[in-house]
Amino acid sequence: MGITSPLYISIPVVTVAAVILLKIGNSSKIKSDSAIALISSSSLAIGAAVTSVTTGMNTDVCNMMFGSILAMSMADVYLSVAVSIIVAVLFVIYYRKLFVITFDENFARANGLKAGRYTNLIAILTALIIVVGMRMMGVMLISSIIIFPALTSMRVFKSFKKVVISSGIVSVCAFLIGIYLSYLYNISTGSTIVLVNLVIFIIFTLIEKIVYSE
Amino acid sequence: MEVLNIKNLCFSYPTKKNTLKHINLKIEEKTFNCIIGENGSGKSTLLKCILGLNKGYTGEIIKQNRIGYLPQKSEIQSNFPASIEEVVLSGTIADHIKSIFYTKEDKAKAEKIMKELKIYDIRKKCFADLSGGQQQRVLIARSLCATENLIILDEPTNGLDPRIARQIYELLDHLKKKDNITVLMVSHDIERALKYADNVIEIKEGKVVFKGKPSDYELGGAKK
Repeated sequence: MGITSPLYISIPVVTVAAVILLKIGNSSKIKSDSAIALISSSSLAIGAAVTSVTTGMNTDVCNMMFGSILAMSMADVYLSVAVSIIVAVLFVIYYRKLFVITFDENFARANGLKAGRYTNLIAILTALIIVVGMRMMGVMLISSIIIFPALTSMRVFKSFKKVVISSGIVSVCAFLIGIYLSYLYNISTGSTIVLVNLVIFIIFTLIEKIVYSE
Repeated sequence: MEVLNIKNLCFSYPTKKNTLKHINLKIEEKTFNCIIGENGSGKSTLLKCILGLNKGYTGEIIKQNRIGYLPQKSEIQSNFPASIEEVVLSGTIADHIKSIFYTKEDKAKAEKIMKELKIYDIRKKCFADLSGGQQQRVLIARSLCATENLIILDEPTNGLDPRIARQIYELLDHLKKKDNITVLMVSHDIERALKYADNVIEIKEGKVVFKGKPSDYELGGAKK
């Protein structure tokens, strides 16, 4: 194994970045979408600058940018499984509170919920998922697997619970189909998964058109 | 009996000193109260102090029970996948805050309130797909789930057309009469506030400059 996995560094770094992003977004002087652009492009720039003075653009960097599920070590796999279980369990435990807070933070706070604590929790859970997914999907494509399943499910399902369950199923299916196709036709795994997601999104949009057209 | 008693409340934001200056206010039960005043006069700040969203005030706020709250509209809600049922049910969150799931009582409470507000038949619909008036009706239902007797609303008729706005006022009036709910709301619509409210409270530059019956307010206004 020799080399330690980048995950041990990237998990704490991304978690801290997520909390900082949240704080910037709250301070209303910079809107959160601009804050995201600010942090993500600057950190990408720092990364590129550091690589160019050290190793240069090699396969490892390319793997990080576009992901490589085959480059994952056994340790990475165990870590990913552990993180996934932790995230799923925490999500179920705090499901009600996370719903109230994301839907209406002021209402939640007026009802005595410690909103700050839970928005931090959401940020950290998302960060963990992103770090784990980054190893498979790469920096450039990770946002798509976070966003696609939810958007896809929202075409057809109209309640939070159904959207959550459907997103889970959609993303697992897209992943499995994507990996199979990429193996079959020798295409890069990350991009195949995103393309499968796109196809499912189009199918769901068509279903929406048919079902809700009456 | 009063459901809310505010004694000598003062509050400053870090960037804006003396937003509220020595507010004294009693809200009697089973009354419809409207807070009016210009933008930036401190109306919403007062509500936020009452609800405990603004910390660090001086003075005293005595609350009898939990309060149901209807905040100003937020952007997220217009694109959020949630059914009416889920939104109303979420109002019961504080009843069993430790529990992982909603209890049977929570569900029964939400169902009763949805039936009363005539949104039970559309409970599976998506909140974001509703009209503005229907959305406010759902949020009123949610605030009723959160309280026994007092709801606080922050400009609930903002952006609604006049006919729908009237329906909201009528609904609140109905809740007051039938369910003994005390209503405290911030309103920009002075005309309607005067028509439906039992008490009008005018705030100007952080001070209560008028408190009393709508008829007295109109007289005072005529003198000016």
